[in-house]
Amino acid sequence: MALTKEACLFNLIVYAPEKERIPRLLDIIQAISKRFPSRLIFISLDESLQEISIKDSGNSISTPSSSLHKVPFYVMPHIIPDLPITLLWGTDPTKDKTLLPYFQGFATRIIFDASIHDEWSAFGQRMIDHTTDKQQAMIDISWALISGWRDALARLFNDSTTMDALSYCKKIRILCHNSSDYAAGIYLLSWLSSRLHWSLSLSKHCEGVLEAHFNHDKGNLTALITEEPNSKDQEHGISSLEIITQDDDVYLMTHRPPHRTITTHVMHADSCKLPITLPYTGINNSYLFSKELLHHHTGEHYQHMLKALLHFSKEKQHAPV
Amino acid sequence: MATSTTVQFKNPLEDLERQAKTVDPCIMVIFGATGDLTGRKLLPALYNLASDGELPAHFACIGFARRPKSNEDFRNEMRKAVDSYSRVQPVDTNTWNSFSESIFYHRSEFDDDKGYEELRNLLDSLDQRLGTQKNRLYYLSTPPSYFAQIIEKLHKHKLLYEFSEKSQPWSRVIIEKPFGHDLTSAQQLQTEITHYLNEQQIYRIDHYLGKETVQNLLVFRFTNPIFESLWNNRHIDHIQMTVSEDIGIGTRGHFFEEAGNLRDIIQNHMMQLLSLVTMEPPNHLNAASIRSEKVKLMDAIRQYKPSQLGSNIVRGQYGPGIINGEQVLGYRQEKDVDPKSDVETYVALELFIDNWRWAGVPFYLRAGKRLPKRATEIAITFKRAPAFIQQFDEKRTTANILVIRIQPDEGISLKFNCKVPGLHAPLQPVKMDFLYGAYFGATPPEAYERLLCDCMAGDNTLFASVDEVIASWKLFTPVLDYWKAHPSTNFPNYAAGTWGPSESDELIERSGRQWRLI
Repeated sequence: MALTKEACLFNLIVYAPEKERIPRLLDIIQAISKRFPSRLIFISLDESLQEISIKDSGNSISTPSSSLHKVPFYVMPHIIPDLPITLLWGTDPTKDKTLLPYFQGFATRIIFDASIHDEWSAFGQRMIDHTTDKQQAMIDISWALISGWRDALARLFNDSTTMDALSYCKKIRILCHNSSDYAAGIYLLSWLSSRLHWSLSLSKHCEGVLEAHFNHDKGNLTALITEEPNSKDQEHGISSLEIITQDDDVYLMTHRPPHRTITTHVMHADSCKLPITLPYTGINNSYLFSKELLHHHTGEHYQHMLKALLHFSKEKQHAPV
Repeated sequence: MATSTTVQFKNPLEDLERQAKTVDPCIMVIFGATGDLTGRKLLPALYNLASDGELPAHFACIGFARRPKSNEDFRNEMRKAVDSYSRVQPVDTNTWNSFSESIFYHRSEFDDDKGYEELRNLLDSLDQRLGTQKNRLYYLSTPPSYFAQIIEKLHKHKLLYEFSEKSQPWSRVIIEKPFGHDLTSAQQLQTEITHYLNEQQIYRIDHYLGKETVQNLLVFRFTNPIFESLWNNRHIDHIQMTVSEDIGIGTRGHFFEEAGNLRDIIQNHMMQLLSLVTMEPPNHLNAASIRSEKVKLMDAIRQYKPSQLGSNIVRGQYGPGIINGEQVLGYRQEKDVDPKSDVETYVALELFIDNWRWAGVPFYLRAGKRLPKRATEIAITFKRAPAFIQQFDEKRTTANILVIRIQPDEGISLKFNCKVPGLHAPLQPVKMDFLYGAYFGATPPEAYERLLCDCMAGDNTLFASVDEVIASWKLFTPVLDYWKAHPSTNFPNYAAGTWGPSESDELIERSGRQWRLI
């Protein structure tokens, strides 16, 4: 198919309130724009400025927080009419009382990055309240980042025998590319617990290790979330997941950048299976990741995960992640 | 026949809201795996499905063919084919290495009982090793004469399961076109294979139906009311459909001598396109409703009277000519072609649909090889503005034409009249043009990816039902009989690189219309 001219599928308004999160948002923008052409308007907060600064014919807006209220009046003339408006918000949408309330009335989809926040339970509750009566699709980037892992787990445990083995799980170890990606690890753990009816008995965080204990009807399990020791800065999300059952069957799933795959090794006490390779829905897999952000809805699994997140912090014994 | 009784496992980790379809673990067996189709289409499609995460984790593919070959040989050949024909380039070595572990080769004749016994053993051992849950997808990529025999052997060796709506394991059979070579043979083949298979297990593949643009026909028609409200004989003057190929028959001489263009293109691909463009809206977007509407439409196509067979359908055969500046052979000079061959490489026809929506609207279909360019499109020509509006430049006023381009440059365009800026008011036709590539990138899934995935998910919406196939043969078998009784007297009647024989122009010009210059 000949790509004869650039087109535009939607308006993408990006808000980056924190400088340190700009690289991650730029990675996401790049992943999206590789597959889905859009009118991009990038808003960043810059307290060193006295007044709003406009660059790239209005597509790049820098502003001090004192001028945030003026930003919509600079943005709206640049919107392409009749096309959907997608917001990419580099902050917790439930806490943004300045810009988001203005734009969300026009938006068809809000993609947000809430991976840094102080308290999981409160965040979960705010999100449940926030999404209940919203017309727009709300897409959580941390949730999108684990979609490949969720798919891989669903495919790996896709019959009654392997699911039975999973129900005897005694240990889970999740390695994240860096500590700011613990959100992905906690999401994955909360999702698993919500799907498999595990109940959290204890969670604690010390010296970079997040430890959680669950009860289930076949026994107890311990889960650890730690940082990948040799990870490179530009990676996002989870790098490996290890599940060990009471029979010492091991399911080891790893993502090794730059491969866009998750490789799974299944080891029983007396045998090993051929490794299975499944797609990794990370930022570097632009097609699947963009589909996840732009075409899917969070749905029931996400809502159940949020409810599990409420429990996650109930027995909180740890400092903020 | 083996029985399938296992209750379907419900996976709590599976997020059905994200997945359009649940694709079950399975083993796909390709009969005739050393043929062109496997390397050019099937394996690249499977690789791309694996790459996009659409294949089940527990999956294997077995090539079944007569030539001696090891698993390793077959994998190496397939790697080269995927390198050449995969839509996604370059091929990811990690994904390929893992995927290729699930590719196997099984050598056997199609009629050899021992070969099927060994196949069963191989399938059983792969189920054990790979967790493929005994689900089977058999792809018959062989000459049609083997279809019934292979299915009978599969049944004999308990490789087919009895069909049941909700149970597993399942067995399904994909059958390549042509399904029969006329009405009688299609009915006979259907009778033979339904001894062993339920209609729900039979997937008659027509790769046109897997093309994105063809799938979009239903979306375009039924989610855009402005077009659907104009989609009838009150507003449409006529519809032209063209499948033009610039290539000749290449290495398919044997096949084409048996088939000809009517069987190869018109009877299946074009009739499927026609039915999607003209059928009534289905009550539901499921296979049964869509197929039912397609069959109703096919039944409404006016049968040709014997007196029309010589005039309403034109056939042609290319002679030597020039394509893209290069001299090319005529059909009769091609490899494996009879030097006195009477086989048609071009067909043009006029047909009518006798229902409320389409009464009186002529449909012009043409398909040919060695035409000036490769293009498949549907052009809907609307009725012109009333002639009394004399203040406009009537000679320059053209009809609105909505063109749905199936390939290449997939997209949709609408031609309308516009005033040229200035004090005087000359008119100029202009075009609004939507290009898939410009909006959605350069590599949409190949038709075979979608169709294989659908078959694994048990969705036969995009496969032809027996009723559609039979209805199509009912229309065209009298034409084939007529041609057989009245061999052509002027073949070759068009030069390669031209738009077909002059009779084709005469056919459409009789009604005061013209073929579109594409």
